[in-house]
Amino acid sequence: MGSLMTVLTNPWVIMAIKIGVGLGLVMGMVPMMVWMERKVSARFQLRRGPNRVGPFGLFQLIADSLKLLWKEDFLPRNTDRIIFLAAPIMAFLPGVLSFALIPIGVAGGNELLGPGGVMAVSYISMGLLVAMAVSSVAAYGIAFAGWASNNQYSLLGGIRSSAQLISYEIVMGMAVVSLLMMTGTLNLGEIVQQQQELLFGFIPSWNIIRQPLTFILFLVAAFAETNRAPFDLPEAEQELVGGYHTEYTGMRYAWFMNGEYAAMFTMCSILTTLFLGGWGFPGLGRLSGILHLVVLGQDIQWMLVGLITFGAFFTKVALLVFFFMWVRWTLPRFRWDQLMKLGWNVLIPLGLANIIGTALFLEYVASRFGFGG
Amino acid sequence: MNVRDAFFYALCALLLGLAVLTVAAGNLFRAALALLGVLLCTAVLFLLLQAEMAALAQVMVYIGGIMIFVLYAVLLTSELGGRMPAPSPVKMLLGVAVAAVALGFLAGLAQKTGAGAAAARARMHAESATKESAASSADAEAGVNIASLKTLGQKLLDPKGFLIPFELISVLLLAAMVGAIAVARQGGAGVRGGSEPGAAAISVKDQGGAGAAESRGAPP
Repeated sequence: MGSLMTVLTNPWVIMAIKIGVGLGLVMGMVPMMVWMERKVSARFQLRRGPNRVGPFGLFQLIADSLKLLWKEDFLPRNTDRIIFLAAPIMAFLPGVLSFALIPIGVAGGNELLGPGGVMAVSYISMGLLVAMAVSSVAAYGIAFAGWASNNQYSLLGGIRSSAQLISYEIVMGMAVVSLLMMTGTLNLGEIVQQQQELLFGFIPSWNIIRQPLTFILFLVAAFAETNRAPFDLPEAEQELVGGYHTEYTGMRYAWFMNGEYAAMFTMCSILTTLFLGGWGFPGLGRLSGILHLVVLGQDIQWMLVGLITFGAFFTKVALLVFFFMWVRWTLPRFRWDQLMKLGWNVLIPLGLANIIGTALFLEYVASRFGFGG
Repeated sequence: MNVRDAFFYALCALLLGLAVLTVAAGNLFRAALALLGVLLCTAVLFLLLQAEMAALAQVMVYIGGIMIFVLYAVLLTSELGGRMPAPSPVKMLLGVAVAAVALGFLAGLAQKTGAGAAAARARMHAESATKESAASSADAEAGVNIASLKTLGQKLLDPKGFLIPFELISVLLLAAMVGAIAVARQGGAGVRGGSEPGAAAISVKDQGGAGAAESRGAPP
């Protein structure tokens, strides 16, 4: 028993376990989200969706994955082979990588599980900046695929994707700037911690309430960055067959899909962390106080608090994912020029105004009344 | 030679190899990819120097921003498997001369700061020995990072610091962008204002001639 504990408390082993859990969480969520999307879209279109394979059609995911695995792995002629093969990996990685930075719950007093009491695969002080940096790489997979496929539909998809990402990343950056002016820290754990207070005693001081415009800007940019409808121009099936993944088959195609869903999950996690109070909810302090009275043993108390906070975080993320799907099956796709106009003529000026407004607020209102950041 | 040094030399070898590939690759897209690799390696070098902010800025600005612009331009103009013509000897000589001047300048700079760098290196080795104890206090680390970030920001906006170079660079970038648009306008006279970017390039590729671009420009 003693030797087992020394192995388990080795920092390398703990890191490996954390990476496994983080990766497993994202990878496990992807098929669930595919199932959820099919169910949600069916409901929006007055259908039933998958309901034959397993309870609620849940085993449909397994059937789908097996089908994709067994499909012929087809490599078209006259492609740029290396880049063609690297593109699905490049498309998949950023979404998974940035999830590692997100605090998903309270780790309690256990320094090994989470330094600073925060449950995250990698808890670093510049977390927000690293997440932004990683997500800025996301365009490459699609651009690579579009170019290497030697197909004009693919190429158009790749071009659309890179132009779209450049435009909306500016919007996202501006939203983050005005958020940072209020938080004063890049540490995702501290940003969550700051949102746990109550305004006027009953409103949770989540950043969505403190900075609603920033939230909207970030949300729109998040839709564009994850290539979700109404911003799914890079794959617009009515115009471009399949866009950047036209030439991909079987598992290679599946990696693009996995990447899209992983990116959506991570983006919802970032939104939850930055704007929706992360793992916290009003009454968390009272609840853990009750737990301290009722449950014996500090380890079990912390474990329960960890589970509850993780559950709160996960619920918020799931609701946001549902919101993403809701929007996809409700709004039609933007036309190309509408997309560009929205980005450059509406959102970027709004973002600039938001930064100036936040600065004025912090300088003249917040400092005088001791309110806000 | 410890692991850190071995990693450093391997990284530098990779960086130099990719840099050579950037200028030697016949295909524009591959050259852009090699440049991407060079920038990534530089970011890792910054990390080795414990300059996290510089590394992240490198990734966000160059890899996530500027290189996507470059890739966008390459996607619009170059063909798969297409090879660029070899540059003329005059251009090659000019390029070598510019590279030599830049190298000399950088070597001089390195010579000048060599003493300081050696001291910093010694300090870093001492630090890495006591790294375990330092890493345990995450709060202290956060404090240091925020402080350096704050000083960096203040230096960038300080008129006596880097404010003027900072603003000048943005004007330079603007000039480069206007120049790029002017060059592109001269070449592709057929591109209409409202049409989707890339459509003209595709049609040229389809029918293999400048006539295709012109016919696109005419009203239907």
